[in-house]
Amino acid sequence: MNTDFDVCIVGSGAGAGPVALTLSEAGYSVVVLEKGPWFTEKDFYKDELASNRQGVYTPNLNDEQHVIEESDGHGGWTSEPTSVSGWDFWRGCCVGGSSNFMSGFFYRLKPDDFHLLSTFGPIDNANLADWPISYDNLEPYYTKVESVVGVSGRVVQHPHLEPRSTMNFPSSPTLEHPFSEWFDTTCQEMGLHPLPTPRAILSRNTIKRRSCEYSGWCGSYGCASGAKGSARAALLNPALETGSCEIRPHAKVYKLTTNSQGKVVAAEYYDRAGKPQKVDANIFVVACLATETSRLLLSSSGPRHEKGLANNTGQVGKNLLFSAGGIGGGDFVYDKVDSLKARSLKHQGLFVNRGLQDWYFIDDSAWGKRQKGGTIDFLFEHPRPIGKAKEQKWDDDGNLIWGTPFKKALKSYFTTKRRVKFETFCDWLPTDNCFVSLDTQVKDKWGTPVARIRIGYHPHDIKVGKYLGEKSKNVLRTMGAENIYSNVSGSPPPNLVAGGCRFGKDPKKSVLDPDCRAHDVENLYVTDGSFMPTGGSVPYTWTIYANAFRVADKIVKHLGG
Amino acid sequence: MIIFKILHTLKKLNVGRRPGMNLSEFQRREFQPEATSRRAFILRAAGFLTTLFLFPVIVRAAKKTRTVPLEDPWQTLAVVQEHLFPSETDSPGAKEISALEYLRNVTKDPAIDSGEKEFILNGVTWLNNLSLERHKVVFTSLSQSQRTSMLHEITKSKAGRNWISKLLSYILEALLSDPVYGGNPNGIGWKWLKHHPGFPRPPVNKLYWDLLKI
Repeated sequence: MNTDFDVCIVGSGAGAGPVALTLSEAGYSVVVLEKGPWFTEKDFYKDELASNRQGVYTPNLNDEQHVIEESDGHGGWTSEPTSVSGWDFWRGCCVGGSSNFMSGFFYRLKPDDFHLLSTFGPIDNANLADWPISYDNLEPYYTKVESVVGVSGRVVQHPHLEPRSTMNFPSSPTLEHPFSEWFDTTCQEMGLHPLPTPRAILSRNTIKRRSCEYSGWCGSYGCASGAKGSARAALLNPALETGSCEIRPHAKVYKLTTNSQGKVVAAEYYDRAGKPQKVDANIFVVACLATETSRLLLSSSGPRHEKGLANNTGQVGKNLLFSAGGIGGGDFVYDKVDSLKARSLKHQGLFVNRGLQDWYFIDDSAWGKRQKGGTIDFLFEHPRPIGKAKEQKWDDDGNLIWGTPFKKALKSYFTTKRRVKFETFCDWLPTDNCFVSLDTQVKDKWGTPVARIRIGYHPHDIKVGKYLGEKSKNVLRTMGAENIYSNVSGSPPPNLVAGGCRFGKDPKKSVLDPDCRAHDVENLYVTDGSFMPTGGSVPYTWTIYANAFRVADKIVKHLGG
Repeated sequence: MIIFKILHTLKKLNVGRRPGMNLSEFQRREFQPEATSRRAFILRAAGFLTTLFLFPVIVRAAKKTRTVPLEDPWQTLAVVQEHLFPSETDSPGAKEISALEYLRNVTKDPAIDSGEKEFILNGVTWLNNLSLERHKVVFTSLSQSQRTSMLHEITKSKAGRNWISKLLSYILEALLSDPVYGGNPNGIGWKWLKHHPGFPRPPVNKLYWDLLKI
């Protein structure tokens, strides 16, 4: 069949970049359709206003939103559009997606994450399922990401270290803050195994990109040096260099059209002027954020797909995952630590880069049999002075303060201490109460139904989150922090989302086959985080990159390469 | 249905969590569009000035420099800002951080919702109406202690609290955003709070509203 392109990719983030690069390097023509704009390093500055104003890196919620369904606490569900709540479920709608704005905390999954059900057994009301592939299938691609995307780090032996095919990372860790050494000493005295957090940030000039320049403004900000391994900088730019890849920004795909045999024949999209356009291709790859991937499939019904594309068994949108866990932190008050430490704490620009995986699996008699735990990451508070200052305008009772008392609070917050935070990552157990459907009333600015997301969580997630929160607090307490707090709730972090189109061997229980091709659509692949039946206890990005490289190889084979 | 949604929104002022991201934990808490009506601001007040009526005044005022007395709503906003964030011998106040100039820029900012801009300006009218009702003079003619008690009074209403909260937010943006946005002259806010900006800093042709054109 004569088509515009061999491969059409919807979305341009972590799930799209590896496919665009692999296929264009193999000589196939690729078009990437991205609904957002196309920024480059020349547009990225350390500008907190740009990072936080709606409409800059994410859509204005009046134009594009979600409807969120939450438990009403009495067995029912209550829904609210995000244009009303202000609870933004977007992150990074532009070429390269949210990988432009990530912190790049890169952890691999562990072998047991691939078969949670058979290793740990069922949990009531959780839809656990083993992956149809093993860690060994993905390991070469994790390794590939280390060199192609650029992951810096240092391998340290610890009880839960996953097997590696190479001895170490291709780049040494980014420069570390003096706090890290202090953290290591304390953790070692506590019998723990402090780990240098691998980062998708280059620590040297390599693979045609510049090293990190250590401004200290990383998470939430676009990278001006190109050191951060976003899909745009690391994968799409080299894909463009092959001459076989075209990126179309401001191209909002609203439907995948299928023919009478059920094959996808075209991606229909609106261009910047709002005019409908169409692209045809041999293979279609959807990777536009787990919630939106499910939404697009559900919106794309056709003669052989009456309930939505690839949804003949009603699985699309089901078993959506976020990342469970929580956040917390503590203050190191300059007057209360020794003067050398106080001076070093004020140092800006370097990374803490420390994590703990001592409780990735919990062997605790109080918990009965061995269970799944998670990862803890320690970091300085993200640089967002305006955001931090705004938090100070409320007193402990939730009343506004202003005038001199407010200024005193600001001065104290900014100049007398440094806050160290922790973020815990645990499995978000898949349940029947977390899924994507199409809203029947709310539409986006193009008139297409928006995604309705039910965000129910499993109580077990909270139990694990609290356990890790206590362990994290204990480390900070031992280090001498004050005002230690942790916050664990079932409220999902909108920037860490996966699932909705699980892969598996049984078409009745999954949307995709083990190659991430739709069971019932021969030329449709899904390569963002949607494929995950369970998410593991780490941030998803490295796994999304690795799996997309794996699937890209399958697509090359599919095309006869 | 709408009323239900409003009530539900009010119930949850809890903060969001975004590991690896800095996105505003404050944002959700601040976002209370339902609380931007006059009715919610004060329950009883005489007179009502629409935003339409206000806009010509704004345009005129914006063209003037501080050497000429300010016209409302800017005069009232300047006084409220200076009350919320006073100048002190050891620290800059609203005046030193150019909070009013910053706020004027906000009203021209295409990225900010027109409802939000209207709300800020409408609040001036509501505040002055309340002041006239209570004291027979506008807010700027009140004594310091009268201003304090009036601002405390309006925080008892949702919209009043929201209005002051938003003014404080824009004061803080003037204090800590890059000087290229019109506040924080010569980094006066950064120096006061010993804050180090990230680099590269935004140049004048790459303000965030320029990014909207890409």
